[in-house]
Order: sequence, then structure tokens, then C-alpha cells
Amino acid sequence: MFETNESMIQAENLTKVFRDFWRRPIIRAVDRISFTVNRGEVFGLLGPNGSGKSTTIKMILGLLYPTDGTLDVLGRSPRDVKAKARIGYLPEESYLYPYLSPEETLHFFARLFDLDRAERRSRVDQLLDMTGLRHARNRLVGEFSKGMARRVGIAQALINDPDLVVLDEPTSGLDPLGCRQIKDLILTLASRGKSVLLSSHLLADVEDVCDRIAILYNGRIHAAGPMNELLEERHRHRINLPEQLPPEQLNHVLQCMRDIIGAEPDLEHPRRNLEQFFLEIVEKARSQAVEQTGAAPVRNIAEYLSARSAAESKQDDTGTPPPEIP
Amino acid sequence: MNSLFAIAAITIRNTIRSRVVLCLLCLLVLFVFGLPLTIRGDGTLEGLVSIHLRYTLGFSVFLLSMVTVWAGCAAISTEIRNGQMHLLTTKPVRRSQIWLGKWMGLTALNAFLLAFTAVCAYGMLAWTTRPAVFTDAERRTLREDILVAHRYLSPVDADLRDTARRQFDLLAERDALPEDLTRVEILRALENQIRRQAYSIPKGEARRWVFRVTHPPPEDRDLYLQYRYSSSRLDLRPVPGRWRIAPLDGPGILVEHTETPPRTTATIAVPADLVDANGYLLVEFTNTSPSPVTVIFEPDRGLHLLVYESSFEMNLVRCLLTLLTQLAFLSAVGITAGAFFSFPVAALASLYVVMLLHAGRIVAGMAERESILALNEAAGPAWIFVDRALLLFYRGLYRILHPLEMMDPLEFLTRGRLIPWPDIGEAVIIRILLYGGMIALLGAWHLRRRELGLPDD
Repeated sequence: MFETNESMIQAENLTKVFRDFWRRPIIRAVDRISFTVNRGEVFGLLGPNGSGKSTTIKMILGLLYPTDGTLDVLGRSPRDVKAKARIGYLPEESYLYPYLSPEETLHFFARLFDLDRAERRSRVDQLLDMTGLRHARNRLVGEFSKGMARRVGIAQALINDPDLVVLDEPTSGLDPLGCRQIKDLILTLASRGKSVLLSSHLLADVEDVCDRIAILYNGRIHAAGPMNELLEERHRHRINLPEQLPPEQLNHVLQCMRDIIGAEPDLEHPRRNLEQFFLEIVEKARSQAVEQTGAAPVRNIAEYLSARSAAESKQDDTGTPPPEIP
Repeated sequence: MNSLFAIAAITIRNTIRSRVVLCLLCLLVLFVFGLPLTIRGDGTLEGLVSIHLRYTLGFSVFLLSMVTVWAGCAAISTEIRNGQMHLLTTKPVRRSQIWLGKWMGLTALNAFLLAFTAVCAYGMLAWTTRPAVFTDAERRTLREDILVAHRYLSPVDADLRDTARRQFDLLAERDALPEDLTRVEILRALENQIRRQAYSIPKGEARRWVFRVTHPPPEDRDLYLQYRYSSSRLDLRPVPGRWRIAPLDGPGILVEHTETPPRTTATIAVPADLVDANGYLLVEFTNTSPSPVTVIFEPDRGLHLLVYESSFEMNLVRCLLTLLTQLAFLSAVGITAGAFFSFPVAALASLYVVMLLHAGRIVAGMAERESILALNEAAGPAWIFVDRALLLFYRGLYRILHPLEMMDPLEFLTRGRLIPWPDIGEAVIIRILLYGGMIALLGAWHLRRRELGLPDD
């Protein structure tokens, strides 16, 4: 892991008040929240609808402007184009041009980052491979299912090899297989030094990938911290025994525990979770299938999504060429 | 630049996918090919050219204006509504670049459509005037007299200001200056009077004008003296007269003028060798009418020397460039309106601006008035205040709109009149750089401060 104390997002007393036409305040969507997202960290913003998650993300992206407080993204104002050059964003809805193919879409966004033609082609090919859209590269995005459009969205968010990836409901519209692939992708990105800010309703997804979380309600942070610390029940304990333990040894262990703690311990057989079970079944079915119409499975991460140090990222920011990717 | 071109390209794709725009473009194609085949001219070659170029191109420009306003308004407002703008603005692109990219896209599309329309109209004209339909002589007239670009020269006026000042001093000596006018107003009135006198020829009198030909035509090309007069008689009977056209110090040609009625444009071919070595040509008109009637040439439009300057095709290009400045200006209006308002409101606001531009004469008329409400002396101070405020409004509006009123390039084109590069430059400076620039700054400023993704977006 690349996690360091270099902060990619720093919010202090961040506040957003929405006003009506006459500039009268109508709702305080975000109320003095403070948090930091460090390099290489996966940070989750959780909360029910209307809790201020999307407003916070939109302020981080420079779409909405804070009413009060300070917000630094990659050490700059969120509206600074130099900061935006290092951010990748996947919106909750598909805001893509429906009349473009995935390939055209990726080329369009790559041109916005001023990538030269050769680099553009290389990255587009790698991303189409990575998101399993190579076979559908010339179909129009408007004809895609929500899940396939989501993959195009993810690809466009990574076209610039971002240091900070902002994902708004990344698994929305994806099947369990796609969800698992996205979660793997998030973990891979984090392992390559990218910071990921994640907003999701699906708590299981967040639990699987986030290092730290903040729970918002009514515009305020009600809980924040490392996932393990927040979820750990320090007064309860679980002992894992080796697999295939002979019954007599198991009975002996239980007897010892009864003798020591003076009470009957609970004995349960562990269960696979449903996601794990589902993935096994689908993987088996996939190996028997001859052809498919939807998206192919996500393949290895694109090579250009480099594992760069903080110093290298800053060097890019000043205009010097990126380091060679091994 | 890469991002600008990317935004321009996506704007073009967005525009040609709009159903309204597609309908208007179909109408455009239908019109370009249909109009010349369905409308009959007045039987003259000039009339035929008018139908093919003036009406066809004129209506095409009108349709393209509609397309431009519609697409301009949609360029930003619908992308905000559909969310694409949310994604676009998270990329390293300044909002002013987004505005500029949209404008570039629309202007490029307009340039292509305008060129396409012009090529089609020109092709239709060539097909209509093919050898099987018109005689060689008619085709020669068309090629040499109508489909050309002449520079229109006006007579070199004597120093009117000096003469007016001398007359002013004379009136002052006699203490005959009108008391209710200022010095500037009197001088202006005197200048106008002297100018009218220079172009009014009573019975038996003659007037001389001097033309200065700065760009001599090719040797095989004649010059043309074009004139149009009115008479002091109420009827339209021709007033006889005689033209003498000569170098400043040599013999020339005499042309009797007997059959041209008033308010009709007539031309006299002038051999190019009559222009002297310094580029001067003397033109004299003698009123030979036996009855007491005065011939009056309009000072600004009554007398011109036409000098061949360039081919018709080159003038067509100049005409298209001028028309493109108009469409580029409308693109700016539409895009900025789209940055301010949601779609239907933006379209209505842009159409209001277009209407204002076409109401220039009405606004000018209002601005020249002394009172808008025509109040009488009994009017109270509140009404006087309202009247003054309205007057100020109209005068301000006139000052804003007046620079945008320019020559009609299609009229120049069909009359075989050269559209000078300085006029095109003026159109570029005023419509694109000055007014377009101000509108662009306004649009980019608002887009920059506009929040996207608000709850009601």
C-alpha cells in the first residue's frame, strides 16, 4: 500500500447552504464538516439520501462552491484546472454523450487532457480491455445497459491516470460480478498509490474496500475514522480453529473453554457470503459459455495507471514529462 | 488547443443530431434547389441573378440564423440539463474554453453550410443560364456586366466644409443667422445645401464632377458611369441632357441623354483610356431641356463611376465572409443566452435580440425624436421624467445597435458591386471581436460563476 500522510483532500468546516432565487437560504446541505483523504487511501462517504454526500463530492469537483470553510484538493482550489488534471470522476448518473461509441467517448475525454494521439490510442485500448468493452467499442453508448455505460464511465474516469479518483455510487447498476470487479479495481488503484473517494449506499461494498469512512447525516459528520476501529467490538472475541479439526480435538477444546470461562461457548460453522457463492457459480457458467453479448469480464488493470510517488505526481503538475512506466 | 477542438467537434455532432436543426437544414436544401425552379423573374438577366443569389442566399441565411440561435442556445443549456456539462467541467478545461469551443464548433458548421448553400446556388445559376437556354450574347452580358465586382466611385467633392464656413461668415456679417440653431447645426445645414446644389442642374445649366480612379481596370475592361436622377416635375417624363466624359485636360466623348426617365438607373460605357495619367476623369452634365425643369442627382447614390475590380466568384467569397460574421455574432448571442438560461427561455431571449437587431430603423426613429410620449405643456413632472427616461433608453439602445447596422452584402453581390476588404474587416472587428467579444466575456463570466449540479438542475 502507498498510504502516506500527504493529504489529497482537506476540508475544514466545509459548509454549503443552498439559496433560492432571492438569495434566501433554504437548506444547509453540508454543515461544517472536516475530513482529510490521504494518498493511497480509500475513503468512504456514507449516509442516507439527502445527507450531503453528493453536495460534498460536487464541491470537491468544483461544481458547487462552498458557502463557508476551506477545501483544498491536491493542494489547490477545487476550481483550479491543474487540480482537475489529476482527478478522475465517475458520476452517479451516466452523463456520457449517447451518440458516441465507447472508443469515441474515451478519445474525446483524452483530448480534454491534451494527450497526444499515440498516448490516447494506447490508453483507450488498454481501458477498453480493462473494462471488458473491446468487443463493443464501436457500439453507441446510448444503446448500452446501465452496467455497460457504467464501465465506460469508469474508463473515462481513469483516462488521465488520476491521483485522486472520485466515485459516486460506482457499483450502481452493476451485477454482482461487475460489483466485485469494481471493488477489485478500487483496491488495485489504491495499491498503486491512487486515492479513492467513494460514496455509496451499499454498505457491504464500502466495508469491503474502504480504509476510512465518514458517516453523514443531515449535512454533518456523525462518525469518522478507520473502518477497523469503527467496526471492531473490543468486548467480543472470535477464535478460529484450523480446518478439518478431528471431532475429539474439537470437543477437547470446547471442554477446556467450559472449564476456563465457566459457561457454554457458541459453536457455529462459518458460512460463505452470498456474493462469494454467486461469483463461484457465475465463474463456472462462464467457463462453459461459448459467446456473450454484454460486457466481458474486467481484465488486468491498464498498465499506464502507474504506481507513482507523491513527488512524481507533483513533477507532472509542473509540466515535466511523466516517468516511464516499467 | 486540443481540448478546444474536441469541444468544437462534439458541438458540431450535437447540433446535427438535433431534430429541429435537421428539419431546418432539410428546408434549406429544399429551398436552395426548389426556389429557382419555382419562381419566375422579371424576364431580365438581373432578375434571374437576383432570384438565384439574393433570394436563395437571403432565405438560406435566414434559415441558418434560426439554426444558429437554436443550436447556440442548446449548446450549453441542454448539456447542463442532461448532465454532460457536469462531467465536462470536472476535466481540466476552463469554462471560457468551453464557451469558445462551442462557438468555434457552431461557426465552423455555419461556414460549411454557407459554403454549401453558395455552391449549390451558383451551380443552379450556371445550369439555368446554360448555352441551350441563353444566347451567347446574353451569356456574355451576364459574364461581363452582371456577374462581376465593380468598385463604386463617388465624385471627389470640393471642400464643402470650407465653402460652408465662408457662407456662414457672410451670413454673420449680414446678421442673418437663424437664432434658434447652434453654429454646428447651421454649418451642417449649409453643407447639405451646398451638396444638394452641386447635384441640382436647372434648365440650360451644367455641372461638373471629377472622379479619381485609384485602381485602374484591366485594359480590356470599360468603366461605367451609373446615374439615377429625379426631376422637379411631378411626372416621370425623361428630361433631356448631355453628358461629356473626358480627361481633365483633353477631348472626351459626348453622350446625349434623352430617353432615360427619372428614378431609373442607367449606365454609360466609358473607355478606360479617358482616365488621365493621374487617374482623374471629368464628367459634365448639361440640362438641355427646353422646359423649365431641374435635374437632381442624389448626392450619395445618384452618380457613380463603376470600375472593374475582381471576379464575381471572389466577390461571392467576400459576401460569404460578411454573412459568416453575422452568423458568428448570432452564435455568440445564442451560446451566452444558453449559459444564462435554460433552453426555452434562452431561445426566446436570443430571438428578442435578433428582433431588436432588425428593428434598427424603428429604434433610430425613436432616438431622433424630441419626446417619446409626445407630451403637451400640461404634463406633470412624473410624466416628463418617464418621457426623458424612455428617450434616454432609446438613444442608448440606438448607440448600441447602430454599429451593427452594415451594408447588405447580398445586395452588393447581385448588383455587381465590390464588397471591399475594409468593410469585411469592419464586420469582423465589430460583429466578432467587439460585440462578439463582449458577449463572449459575459457568457464565460456567467458560466464561470454558475454552480452546476444544484438541487433544481
